[in-house]
Amino acid sequence: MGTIEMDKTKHTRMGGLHNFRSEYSVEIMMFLVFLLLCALISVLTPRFLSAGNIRNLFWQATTVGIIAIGQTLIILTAGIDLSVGGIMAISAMLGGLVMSNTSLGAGITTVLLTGLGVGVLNGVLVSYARLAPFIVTLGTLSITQSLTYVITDGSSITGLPAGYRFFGYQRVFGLPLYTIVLIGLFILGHIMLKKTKLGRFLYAIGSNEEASRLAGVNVKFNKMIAYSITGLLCAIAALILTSRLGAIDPDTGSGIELDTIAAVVIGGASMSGGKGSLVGTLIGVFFITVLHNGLNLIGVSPFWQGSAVGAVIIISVLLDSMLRSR
Amino acid sequence: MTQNTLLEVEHISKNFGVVQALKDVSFPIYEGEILALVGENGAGKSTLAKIIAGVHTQSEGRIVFDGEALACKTTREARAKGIAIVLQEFALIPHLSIAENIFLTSKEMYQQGVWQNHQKMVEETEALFKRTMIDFDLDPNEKVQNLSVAQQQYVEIVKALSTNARLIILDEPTSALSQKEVQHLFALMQNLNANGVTLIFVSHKLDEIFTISDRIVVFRDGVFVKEMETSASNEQELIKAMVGRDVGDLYSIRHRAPQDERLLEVAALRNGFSPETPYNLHLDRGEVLGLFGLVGSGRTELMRSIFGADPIMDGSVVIKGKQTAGKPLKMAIQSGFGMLPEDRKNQGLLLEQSIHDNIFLAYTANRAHFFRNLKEEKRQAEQKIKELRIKMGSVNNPVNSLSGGNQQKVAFAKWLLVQPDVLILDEPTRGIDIGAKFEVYALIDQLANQGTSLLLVSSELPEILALSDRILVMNQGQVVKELDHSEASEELIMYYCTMDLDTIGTIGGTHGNN
Repeated sequence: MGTIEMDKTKHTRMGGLHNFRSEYSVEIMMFLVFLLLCALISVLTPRFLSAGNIRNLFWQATTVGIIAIGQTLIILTAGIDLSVGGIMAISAMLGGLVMSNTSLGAGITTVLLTGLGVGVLNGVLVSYARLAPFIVTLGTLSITQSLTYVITDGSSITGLPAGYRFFGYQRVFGLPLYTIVLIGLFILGHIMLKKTKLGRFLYAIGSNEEASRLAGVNVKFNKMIAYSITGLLCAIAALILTSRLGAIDPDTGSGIELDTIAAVVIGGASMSGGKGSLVGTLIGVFFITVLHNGLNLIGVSPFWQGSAVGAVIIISVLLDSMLRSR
Repeated sequence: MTQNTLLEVEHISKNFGVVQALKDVSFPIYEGEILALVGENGAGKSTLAKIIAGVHTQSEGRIVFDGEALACKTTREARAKGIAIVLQEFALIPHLSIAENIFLTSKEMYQQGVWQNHQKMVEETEALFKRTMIDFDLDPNEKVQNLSVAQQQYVEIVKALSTNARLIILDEPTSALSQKEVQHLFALMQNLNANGVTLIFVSHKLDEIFTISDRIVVFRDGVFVKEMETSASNEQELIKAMVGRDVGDLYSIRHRAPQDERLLEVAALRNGFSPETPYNLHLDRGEVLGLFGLVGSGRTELMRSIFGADPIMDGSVVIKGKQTAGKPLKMAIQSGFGMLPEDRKNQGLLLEQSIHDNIFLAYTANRAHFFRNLKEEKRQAEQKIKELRIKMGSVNNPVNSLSGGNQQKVAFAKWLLVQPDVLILDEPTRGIDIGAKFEVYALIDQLANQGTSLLLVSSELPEILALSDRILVMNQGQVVKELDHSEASEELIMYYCTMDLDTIGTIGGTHGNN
C-alpha cells in the first residue's frame, strides 16, 4: 500500500486549486471543448458573436436550462424524468384556461400549482410506491400530454392578457428577466447542492440508497422533493416560454426531456446517480444551444442537427469514461 | 515429500500505472504441495496469483512452469498449459447449467463446432464429480444461479479439473463461506492434492493457513518476505512476518466492568426471519455483548430488526427509556442507536463519494441544520481522521480509493460523530487486514470504556471471545445460550451453535432470558 498512499499525499499539498480541478475535472474538460466549439463557429460565421445572436443564445438556453436544473437533481438520485415536456404543456394550458376565465393572478398560480402537483405525483409514485422512475414518468408524460389536448380539444390559447407578457419581455438592469431567472436558479441550485443537507442527500441517495437509509437519511422524502422541484421548474419554464410566444400550444415542451437529459449527461453526470453538478449542466445546456444555433447559422440542414447532438452526447460520455479509467 | 519444482517465480515485478504491486519476487512452487500465499490486503499475493494464471501480465521477470517459460496473456492460455485459477468473483454464467458452464469453451463437446453434445457433457460432468471424491449431490443440469456460493465454487474447481489442471490457484476461497463449508472445501482440497494436483491457497486467515497448507510464502508491500514450512511455524511468527513488527497477541483478552445502567432493553421482539421466536436481550452502559452464530442463524436479521432497518412483527426495543420499535430509523438514531452493517460496500458506504461526505452522512442526516457549516465539518472530519488514524491522501478522494481497513474506519468515524449510546457492529473486521483489526479491537475497547455499549456480531470466535463481556449464541433463528466471558470457550460456543435444538433444550439451555 505504501506507494499508493505516498502518491496521494503529494496531491493534497497542492491545495485548493487542485481540489477544484479534481472535483470538476469533467466540467473543465467539457468547458474547454465548449470554448473550442465557439471559436470554430465564430471563425466560420462572424454573425455568431454578434450582440443579437448572443441574446438569441440566452433565450434559446432558457427553457432547457431551467428544466435541466431539475433533471440534474433527479439524475443525481439515479432517477430520470421523462415527463418534463408534458408538465410544461398541461400546466401552461390549465393556467391559460383559468386566466381566460378569471384573472391573471389566478392563472399564474394555476400554472405553478399544476407543475408542482404533477411533480409531487411523480415523486410519490417513485418514492413511496417504489416504481421505476423511467416507467412512472413515461406514464405521466403520456397522460399530461393527452390531457392537454383533451381540455382544449387540440387548439391553442391566444389572446393572453397584456400583463402575461411580463415573464417573456420584462427587462431588469438592461437584461431580460428570463436570463436573470435562469442564472439565479442555477446559482440557487448550486448552493442547494453544495451547501445544504438536501444537496448532500441527493448525492448520497444516488450513490448508495441503502447506506443512506441506514445512516438515517429519509430517502423517500428527499427523492420526492427532487421530483417536486422539477415539476415546479417546468411550470416556471412554461410561463416564460408561452409568455414570450404569446400563445399556449398543446405541443408546448414536446421533446424537451431529451434535450435536458442530454445537457445533464454532457455536463458529466452519471445516469447511475451520485455524480454530476449544476456547473456541468450549465455547460451542457449552452453546449447544445450553441451547437444548434451555430449549425443553423452556418446553414447546416436541420435534418443533420440531431446527428450532431447525438454524436456530442456519445463523445462526451466516452471522454468521461476515458478520463476516469486513466 | 519429493521436492520437484513445478513452477518457478523468477524476479517478477508488476506495475499498475505508478503503483508498484510487486517488486522482484522469486520463489519456487513444488509439485504436489499446498502452498499458502499470505499477506495483508494490498501485499501483492493476489496479484502474483493472477500473473501465474494469466489474468495479469508481469511487467518484468518470468514464470517457469515445468521447465518451460510461460507467457500466458489470458486465463485460457494458462488453462491449456495446466494452470487454473478460481477467483473470488466466479466466472460462471448464471442461467446456464453446471455442465454447460464446465464445458463452455471445450471443443470436444460441440459437433461441427456448433451443436452441443448434451449427453456427453452431463456424463463427463458426473465423472468429474466422482474424481473429486466429494459428494455435493449436484445435478449437472441444474442452473448455476440456483446454487449456493459454496456450490458455485465447487463448480469452478470442477471446471479447473476438466482441463486437467496440474496447478489450481484458489484466491481467498473462504471469504464467503460458512465454517462448515470451509471444512468441505478443505476436504476437497486434500482429495485433489492426494490425486497429485498442486494447490496455491491465497489467504490472510491464519487458522485456515495452518490447517490446510504445507508451506507458507509471506508477502508485504509487494515484496517477498519469507517462506516457511507450516509445521515449523506458528501464528506469532506469521503475524510478525505479515505486519513487519511484533504485535503481541492479536486476541489479548479485554474485559471491563459494565456500569449498572440499563441502556437497551429488547423484549419479545419478533421478526420475519424467525416469526415464532421472541427475542429478549439487554445491554448495560459500557458493555460489549457478543452475538455468535453460523451464517444463516439469524444474527444479522436480529441486529437489523433491533436497529429498525427492517420491519418487525411485534415487540419492544427501548433505548434509554425511549421506545423505538416500529419507528422511523431517524428516530432510532436520534435516540442513541448506530449500526455498522455487515456489507460495507453495499450498505455501509457511499463508495464513489468523498471520504468527507461519508464521514458526515449520519451527522448530516440526524444532527445538522439545513445549511451545512463547511468549516466546522472540515475541522471535525480532520479530527476524526487523526483519532482513527485513517490513512489517506485528501478527504476529497472517493472512499473506494482506500484499503478495506481504512474504509471500515471511515464507517466508524461516520457513527462516532453522532455519538451513539448503543453501537451495533455486524462483522466489523470482515475483509480487513490484521493491522487494521488491531485498531478496530482497540477502538471497540476504548468506546466501551467511554460508556458506549456495543452489540458485536462476528463469525470469528477468537474475536468474540476476546472482546465480549457476555456472549449470546444463536442457532437456527433462536438465541440458545447466554454465556458470561468467564465461562465461555470456543468449544462451548461451537457446541451450542451447531447442536440440534432439541438436544440443547434437554440440557437446560435457556432461551437467552435472564
